[in-house]
Amino acid sequence: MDNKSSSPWVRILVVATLITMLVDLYLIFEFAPTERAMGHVQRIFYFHVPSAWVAFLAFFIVFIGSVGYLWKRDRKYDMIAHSAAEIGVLFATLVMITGPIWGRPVWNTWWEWSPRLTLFLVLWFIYIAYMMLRSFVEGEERSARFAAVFGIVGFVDVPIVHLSIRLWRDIHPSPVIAGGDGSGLHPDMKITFFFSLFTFTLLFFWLLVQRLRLEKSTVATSELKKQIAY
Amino acid sequence: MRKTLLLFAILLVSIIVVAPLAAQTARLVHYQGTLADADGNKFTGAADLQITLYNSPRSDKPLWSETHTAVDVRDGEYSVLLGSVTPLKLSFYEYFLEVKTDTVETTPGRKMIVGSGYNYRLWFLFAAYTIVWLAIFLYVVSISRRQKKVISDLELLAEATQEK
Repeated sequence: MDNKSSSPWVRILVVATLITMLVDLYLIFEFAPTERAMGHVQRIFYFHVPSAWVAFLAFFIVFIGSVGYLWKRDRKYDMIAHSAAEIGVLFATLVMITGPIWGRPVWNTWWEWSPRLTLFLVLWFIYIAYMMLRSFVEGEERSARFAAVFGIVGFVDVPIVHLSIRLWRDIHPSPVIAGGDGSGLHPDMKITFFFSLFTFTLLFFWLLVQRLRLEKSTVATSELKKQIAY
Repeated sequence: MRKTLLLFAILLVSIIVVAPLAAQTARLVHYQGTLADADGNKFTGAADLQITLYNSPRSDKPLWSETHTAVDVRDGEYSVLLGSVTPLKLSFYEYFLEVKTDTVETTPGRKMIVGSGYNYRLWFLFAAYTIVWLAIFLYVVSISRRQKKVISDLELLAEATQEK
């Protein structure tokens, strides 16, 4: 977390993330027009959807890291997967919180057992289980191997969650981007939405860099402990 | 730690940005009603209307009330802005509205209205927004703390190695 040890790229990433976060604030609360039917509460969309995007991106990185670990047996892939999974769970939790906060005033209910909501809850449980598996299984190599298999199998739910609102009838709104007839956003809303996606993506990569640094230090400490023990 | 504090500052700025938005929002609900006498004859003219909100059809404890004087009623129809006389500070969704007037002898009764005045919904936005940035901020603090703990462990291990 110390700036002094950061590479110039990381410093650029930090500055870019903070600047875009401020610009995003302006876009969400000042620039984007108020939605006619839902009012101000619709603005939750600008951080609910990007949180879901970041969660999916994180779980995709878990998938890639898991495949990489099983293929190359290189610890760095496992560290990437572990770090991404933790951040993915954080953003998936935010999706689970902001969704009902939006749903209550708009749908008049906090929760519905609809395909999209249920599948996302399952996804959340899968990656909670992934994190629990990592802490319960003894032996670093064994834990990494089990987690990698789980990370690959668990990712199957991601495309299903994504496609659920196109495949089945759902209380969840239909996709507003590339959603076919009747879908679409006001041009200013579109700008705000894509800028939010960009901001959250930068935020994700910054968090991933920080989390990876922690993971590396933790692994180094554990290896040093082993050396001292021998 | 500097970055953490910066994030904290952003969080505070964001709350400061949203809070005035919430405070400035006019809490007005547009209500259109009809006025007819007990025989169902539509009234035309000026009427004083006392409008009261309850939380149930039979409750005798009013949640809020205001009187609109000389409301223009045409063919039994009128419209008023609830909250324009007495500030409306209710924050839930379903109310039972009762209109009383001395101008015409009406049939008593309450109508359920749903909080479609979506300005109330701003607080949901505020809650969601605060939770998002608070969670991210706490996560950054958690990484920072864990990193400090690992560094301190590493230093202890380094000392132990030197002693060996």
